[in-house]
Amino acid sequence: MSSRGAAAVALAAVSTVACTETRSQDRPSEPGATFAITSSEVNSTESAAASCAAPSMEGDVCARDGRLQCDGERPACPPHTAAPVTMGFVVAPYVGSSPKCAALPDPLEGRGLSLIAAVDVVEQKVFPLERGEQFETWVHLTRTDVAPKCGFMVNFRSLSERPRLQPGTRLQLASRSVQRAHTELPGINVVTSEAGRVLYALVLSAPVARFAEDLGDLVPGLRVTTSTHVVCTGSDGSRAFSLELSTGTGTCRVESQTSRCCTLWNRSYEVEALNVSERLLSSVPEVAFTLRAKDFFYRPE
Amino acid sequence: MSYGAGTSRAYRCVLLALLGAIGVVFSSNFARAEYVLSDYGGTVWRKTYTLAVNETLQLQTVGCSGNEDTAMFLLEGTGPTRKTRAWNDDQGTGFTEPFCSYIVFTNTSTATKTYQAVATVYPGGPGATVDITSWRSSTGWITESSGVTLRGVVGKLWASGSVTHETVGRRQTDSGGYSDTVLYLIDTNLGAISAYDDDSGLGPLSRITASLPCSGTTYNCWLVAGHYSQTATNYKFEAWGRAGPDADGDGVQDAIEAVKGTRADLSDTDGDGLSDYEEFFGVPAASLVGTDTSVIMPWEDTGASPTNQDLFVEIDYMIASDHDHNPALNSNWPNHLADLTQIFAFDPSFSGRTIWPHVQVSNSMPETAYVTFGSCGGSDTTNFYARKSSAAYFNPLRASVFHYSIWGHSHKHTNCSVSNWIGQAEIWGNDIISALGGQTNQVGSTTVQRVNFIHELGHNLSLSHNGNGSSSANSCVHASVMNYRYSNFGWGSQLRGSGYSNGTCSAVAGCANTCAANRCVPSTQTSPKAGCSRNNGSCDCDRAEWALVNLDVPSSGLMSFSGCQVSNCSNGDEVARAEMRSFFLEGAEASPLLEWVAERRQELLLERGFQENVDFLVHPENQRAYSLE
Repeated sequence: MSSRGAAAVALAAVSTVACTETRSQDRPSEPGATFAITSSEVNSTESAAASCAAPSMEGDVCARDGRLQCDGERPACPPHTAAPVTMGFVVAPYVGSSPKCAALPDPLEGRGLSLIAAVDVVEQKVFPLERGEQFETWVHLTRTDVAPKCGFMVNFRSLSERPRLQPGTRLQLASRSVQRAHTELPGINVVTSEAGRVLYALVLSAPVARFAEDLGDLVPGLRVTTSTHVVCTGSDGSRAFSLELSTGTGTCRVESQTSRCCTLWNRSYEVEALNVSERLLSSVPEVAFTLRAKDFFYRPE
Repeated sequence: MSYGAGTSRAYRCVLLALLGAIGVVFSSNFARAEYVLSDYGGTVWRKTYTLAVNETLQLQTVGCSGNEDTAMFLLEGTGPTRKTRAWNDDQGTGFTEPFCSYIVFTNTSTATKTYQAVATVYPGGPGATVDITSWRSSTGWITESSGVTLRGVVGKLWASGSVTHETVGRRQTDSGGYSDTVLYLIDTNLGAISAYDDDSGLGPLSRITASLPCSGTTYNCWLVAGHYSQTATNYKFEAWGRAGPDADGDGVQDAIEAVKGTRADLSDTDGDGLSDYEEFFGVPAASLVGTDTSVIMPWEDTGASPTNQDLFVEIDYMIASDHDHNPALNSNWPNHLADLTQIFAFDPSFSGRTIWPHVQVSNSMPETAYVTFGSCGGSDTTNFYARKSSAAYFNPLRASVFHYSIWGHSHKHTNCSVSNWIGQAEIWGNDIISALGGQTNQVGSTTVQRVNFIHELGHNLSLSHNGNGSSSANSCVHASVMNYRYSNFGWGSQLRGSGYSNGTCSAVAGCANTCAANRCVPSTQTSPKAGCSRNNGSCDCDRAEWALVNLDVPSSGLMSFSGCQVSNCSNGDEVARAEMRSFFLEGAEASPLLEWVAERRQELLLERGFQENVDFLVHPENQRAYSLE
């Protein structure tokens, strides 16, 4: 068990509130370490006693393990964190050997952007913020699903992580925003391996009721629901729930604004529920979450 | 001594000026004509002379014709107040060039003194190209300036008794930048006090506040204005006297309103929430902070018009390492602005109104991943209001005039959860977030940039989605960018396809122009709101919505009432104005003011049929985020 994991146990030991634990999982914490998928990964239906205190967001996802559900109370939701990784598509900075793409499909138009590409160059950059710094990984790719082939760049941005990519790697990339209505602009970014394994997905502002229809084809087999149990109340009075993900048997349940490991598509994923709430102007819960294949991102030194 | 000009001669010059003036204002009843002059002008000729005791100076303009009617003055001293020692309008009938001017003056005092000579021309023509010659015993006749083109302006003040005249030079240049003016208020009674100013006005402009005994019977006060540089020819400006009756109390006297085409009985002629004074001269800081009268927001160079409704927007933008949200980098940005102008100019729903949009792309800022209306903490999120409150980005003096928009990357809700929304705006407010980082090239496509901005701007103008805010109701009846059916790409590729209303249903397939109460027959698609009616031969379901358009920018960046500004509220909600103003004058904390404003705006939105938690939100903490997205 890592030191962070030990700390979590110690915190649990002093808790006086009866809670339902979701689960616990370790993973190597050394920068750049390869993330092994271990047999100890289990489904979220297991439970045990632990603390109601919001866990530290400093630890690795699988060590954080999700906030604990508190019986008989509805605490205020903890502060939201930024999405751990966002990605953007842009043509101008491309530095590979292919001619630059004239344009990329518009994520807002029709079924959005979806393409196949091979990594040409990976640039690791760090940019200062007013406080702290931002890691950017500029991945220059050649689009191979069009003729003639053309180049573009994908920027992975994070305050803490980088994708593990090498030149020559082939990927499927997708981005889609679906403008439906006043409060409905669901969006998704997906990185999929050549073999079809989801390596990374960022889902934002997605009403659960239409997730499958609007975005589901980009994460095949992923079923998204929410719990009815209110886990906390947002600063605007909105009620927050748990995200429930499933790709078959078993359900991964992650409370709003928490993270944990889940098994999806028979593989281990870091799941961060950025927001799972029923917004004031929406009659259906809206979810925002990330899926990260456990070995796809690493913490830079 | 002066070679005096006869009153009848001066009167003739007045008539000439009237006939040719662009804007010279004289009352048809000279018994009470208190305004002075208005014209475009450039150069006045000036030169300083030092005359010994009993030394004589002669000055004259040479080469005048009927359109080159000059005037000349000699003032003792060079400070802000001077004494009039000589002046001349027309030489008189004994001269071959009667429209020229001629002065002969002897220093009869007991000391050497310094004088400044000033020559200018009556307004109305292209200017007078003349020679100016002088004679002194030590030099004989010499040519001071050859072929100088005088474009200074001159006019006469009339007033009954002693009044205070304030003159303001207004920059109005074709080439940008301010015109550096000089201004004289000259009492032609010899030995009387006259006034001079260079830069007391806005920037390098001039202003004189002086109490001179300008008689209503002898027309003894003259206003002379010109460019500081005697070689400048491209700058234009106006010089006004601002004394006399001001029926609507807007600070622009009735005589000026008459010639400028504004209403003397209405402080805000065009009804855009900016008083006529503000549109001519800018917004006095006093209207914002109660006491400071020294600062005037220098905004007239943006092209404000007191007779056309102006809509001002400042856009600041974020720059990242690999992209830039500056909309002006888009080669189509000029077309966007042209489109916006077209939208306001030709939208049938704007019939009878002329709205001029003025969009300024202004300051850059480092990109953070998110922008939000509120404080979320974290180095990756920019608090819109905090940024707006920084004078480095947004001049607070603009707050009562400009909408403010930050074009950033991604958006967070006011509860700080990350979202995929590409824009959010205050409804009936003045703040806009554009967040297109997740879209094409991380800045959004040309079309999405344009349409998204216009959509959010519509919210600021009090437009809602008109019922088209849910996926099941978005109707083709409303060919409007406010309809979520068309809120990203517009409703047509034609000009104004991203407009607020086409004034007809026919722009959209399946919709025709025969009206039923809530649809355009034969289409079965209905409008969520009744109110479709015939408009210029077409069925238009947006008219009721457009009736709510409000261009009035909230005072002090917060709100205002019925076209009523804090500083000037002759036709609006006086009570509300007084209440709001009291916050400033009493130096109240911002939070009570915001709370009060929020409550007031909430009341007004409800009065206008908006439904809370359906059409707008009230942020429970900062009270300011009345928002639709």
